[in-house]
Amino acid sequence: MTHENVTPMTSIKAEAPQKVIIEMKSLTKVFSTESIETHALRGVNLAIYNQDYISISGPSGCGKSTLLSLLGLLDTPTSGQYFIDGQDVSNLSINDRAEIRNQHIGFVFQAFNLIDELSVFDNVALPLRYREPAMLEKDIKKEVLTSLEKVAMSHRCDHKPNQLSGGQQQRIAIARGLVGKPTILLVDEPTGNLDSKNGDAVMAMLAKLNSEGMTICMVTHDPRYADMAKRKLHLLDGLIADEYGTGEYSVDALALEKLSAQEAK
Amino acid sequence: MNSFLRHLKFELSLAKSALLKVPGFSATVIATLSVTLGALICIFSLNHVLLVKSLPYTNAEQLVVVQQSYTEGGESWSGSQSAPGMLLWYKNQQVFDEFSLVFDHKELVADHPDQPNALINFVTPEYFSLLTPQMHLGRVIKESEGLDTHQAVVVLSYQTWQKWYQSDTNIIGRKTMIGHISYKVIGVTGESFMAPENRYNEAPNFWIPWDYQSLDITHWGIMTRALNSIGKLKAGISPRQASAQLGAMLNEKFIASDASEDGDTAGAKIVSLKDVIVGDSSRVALLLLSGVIGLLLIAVTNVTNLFLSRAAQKQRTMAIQAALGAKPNQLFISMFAESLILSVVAGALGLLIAGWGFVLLDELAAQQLPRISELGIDNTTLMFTGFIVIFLAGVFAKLSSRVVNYDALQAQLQSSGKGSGLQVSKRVRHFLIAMQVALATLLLAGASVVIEQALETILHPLGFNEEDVFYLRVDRPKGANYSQESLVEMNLLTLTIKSELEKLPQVEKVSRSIRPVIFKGNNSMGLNDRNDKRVGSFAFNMVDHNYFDILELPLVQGKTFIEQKDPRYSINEIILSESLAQELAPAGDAIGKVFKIQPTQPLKVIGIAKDYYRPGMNNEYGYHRYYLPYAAFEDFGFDIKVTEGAQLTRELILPLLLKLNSKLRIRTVISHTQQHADLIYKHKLTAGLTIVLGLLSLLLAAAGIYGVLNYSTQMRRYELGIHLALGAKTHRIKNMVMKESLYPVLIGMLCSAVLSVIIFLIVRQQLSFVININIVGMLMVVPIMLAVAYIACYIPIKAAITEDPIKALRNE
Repeated sequence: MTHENVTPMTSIKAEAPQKVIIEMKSLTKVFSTESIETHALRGVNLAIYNQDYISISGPSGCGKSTLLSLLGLLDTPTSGQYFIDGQDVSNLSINDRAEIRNQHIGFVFQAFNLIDELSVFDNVALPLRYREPAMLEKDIKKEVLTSLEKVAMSHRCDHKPNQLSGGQQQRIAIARGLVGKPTILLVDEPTGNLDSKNGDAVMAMLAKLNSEGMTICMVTHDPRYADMAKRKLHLLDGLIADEYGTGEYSVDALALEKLSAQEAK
Repeated sequence: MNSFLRHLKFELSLAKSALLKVPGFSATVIATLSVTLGALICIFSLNHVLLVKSLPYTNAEQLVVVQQSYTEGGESWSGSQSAPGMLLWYKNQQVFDEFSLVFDHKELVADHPDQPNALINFVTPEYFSLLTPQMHLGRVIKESEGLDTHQAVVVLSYQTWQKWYQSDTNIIGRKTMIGHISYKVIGVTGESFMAPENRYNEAPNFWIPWDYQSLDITHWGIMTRALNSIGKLKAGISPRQASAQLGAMLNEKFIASDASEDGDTAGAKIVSLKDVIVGDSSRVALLLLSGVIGLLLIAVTNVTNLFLSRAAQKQRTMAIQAALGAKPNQLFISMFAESLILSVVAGALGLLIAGWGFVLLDELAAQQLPRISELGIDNTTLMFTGFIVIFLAGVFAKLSSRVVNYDALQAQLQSSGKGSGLQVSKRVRHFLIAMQVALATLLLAGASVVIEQALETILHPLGFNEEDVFYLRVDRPKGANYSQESLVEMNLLTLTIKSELEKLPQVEKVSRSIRPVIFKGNNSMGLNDRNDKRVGSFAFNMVDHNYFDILELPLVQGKTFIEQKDPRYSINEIILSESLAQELAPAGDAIGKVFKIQPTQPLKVIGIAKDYYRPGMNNEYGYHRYYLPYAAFEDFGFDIKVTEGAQLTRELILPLLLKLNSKLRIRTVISHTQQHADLIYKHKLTAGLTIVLGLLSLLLAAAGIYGVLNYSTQMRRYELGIHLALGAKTHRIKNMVMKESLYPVLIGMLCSAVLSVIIFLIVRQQLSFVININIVGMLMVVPIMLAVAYIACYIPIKAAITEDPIKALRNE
């Protein structure tokens, strides 16, 4: 299946998002060396609403990855303010940032970033194991299985990542992103390492998750996948150059259904 | 705490499967740590037993020894006791609750087929009430078998009962012949009973009532280290008070005796039993500990390097964990889990190695170090091992997690992999290499000194002929005493034995001498000038006219003693060794001078014999000795020259002796070659072990340097790839990197030179003997270390510059 063959099977009218869950005000990020200063972000203002589905696109070096790193608290801004659920998280300590990441943010990476030594179950359980106070093992199990069921991978609990295809690994990564019930799911080029069939299925899954209420922010180069989001941000030279939204999006239910059927076999 | 443990449990299972995927790393860490921990546990146990652990007796801390101290002719000394003095204390002392005499002596077990040489403790009954041994069979020596009761009874040690009496459960009441006396067996000590160490550092085989000791209990001038005591001070009596009371008592009798001269005094010194047993060994143990700690530091540096490389490998995993909300302490636990698993495995193997080390120490050093038999894997050893394992695991985890740049980890999650979450600064890397080199060079330099000293002893020419010469020692027959008549009779017997030995076809020549030319230990006797002024105390022997001929020990001046055919001995001549003659008569006019060993007995110097070397006596005093004409004062000794390659055995000689006197028994028959081999065995072992230690530290250092530089090169791989892509020749890059890599090596060597000088200055003040440093030998270490460092630097660089540049640029 190529991109052109993707056929929207179901159209869902999205409800207008109201509550601001993430807000960035005049956020800048400067990378400095001894002789050069690189302004990756030059004052980004962004509000993300509950149940939003945002795509961020732009040319190489425009600041997409930097913006995603700041959103995920993997990096600290040079200046500006960053709020999650109204809490200023711009200048938190390492431990506090780790806790916010653990509680509020789910990640899905282009290279999946699963830990090869761990089983599927343990990979998905990982964020819950960092919870403080520690969760009971039975609760972890329940959450992990629920999350794996959402991505139709619960039958692969005991497998190791290297026993799975790229598409399956990305679905495990999505399950891991979801397991902690995050405020937002940050997705970095989710189809970059996948063929088009698996790419379509993953995108369908993200759309479905959003339709079920998950807030998603995705970086992608692919304009067709970017178009699937409700809001599309275009970054250029460290600034949001353009923002437009359809208010509607599609779920390739057929692609998702086909892939799930194949995996079940 | 519960959540911490649960998290640790999870991380341990993760670490276990991760470590199985890197068997090379795991095996190297385990091998390095287990060998080092084995040595550390072994030497720690030795130090614990010698310096900390109480003696295995009830009230061990209250047990003391009282030693006699003397000042004669202005010289003070202690450690040797006179029997009259000890008996005086035993009978009259008021300061001890209990006080026991102990005399160590060796006798043959005459009714055993092999006639083994047994160590006997002649003791008074208090010995057992002070040490309270558990008995396996029978009882201890009772009060009614005390002084002057002459009850011929014996207590066997458990090991002796097993070895020589086949664990005979009906042994009690049976008789056994020890020396020339038949004793009734009254008890066997418990298996765990360990008697206090003696001058032989051997466990006694028998305990016999004091009355049967062979000491001269009347003469104040005869002192021996074999005579000792054990006591428990009365409550309220301090060691100082006891010393004063006993010293005054001894001094009064001593100055009234024939053995003292004007100005001579005697005193007493109370020393704890533990201090007497441990003696100077604590210093040896501490020196060993410092050596092992040096080895540990090298190993820790190495393993830290390996963990840094491991952290570099793990940074992707850690980046994922960080992105998912793992806090720095949770990443630490992740590193700790791996280091804990490896340290625990290494600790377990280390305990196994230490167990072998204890056996080795028992085999090799039991004669030199006390309480070796107490070494073993006990609770203290296990606790120490547990502590050190957890400590090391924590150190490795802390050091490797410290260099993880938490903020930069996110860069790892980008698919390009250009970033690095692990940043060990150049300064830290250089420090690690320099420390590695400094410690290894220091250890190698120390090892070179030890090896050189050992080789000097091993290879030193003896200066006399040891080939085809045997030494035969025969026990004096029962009933022989030191009266004039008895000595004449014994002299006659030695002449007869000598004449019979000469009739053997394989014997070429026989000489009588009271002790072997070289032996373990020291026997010295004071020598006075003609005015009865003490000139010193020197090693001596009593020999006949054939002695110098058989040993091919030339007389550089004068002549040997005349042949004594008449058993009535006369001692009026003396032969000095060359160095003693030089000491006593620097003008070279020693011949004809008169010296005395007793005021009434002038000895005229008739010859000067060439010096010979006694293995282990590496100072000038080792060559100072004198010879007197033979007299049968002690057991009979014979130096026997045999035909080339011929052997002398106990079976060959014994029938010949028994024909002459049925009471004669052979104590030893040993070739001088064997005697020499026995004396240098310890030095050979020292050299061998030191070479192994040196090679080990060299290998560890090489592995460590390789580890750091391999990591360092990995860090620069991208940069090197760019150089190569731009057309740089490999030799140019190699020179550039080698230059940078060898810089900390040279710094390390410089540090080791400075440290060597500092340690030498400290050690020289601590040691009573002189250490000869051969600078050339120590400098040999430099090219060896440089060569090893060069190879360790070159290997990782070679790997980096011989691959296709695109691989480095793509981070493949």
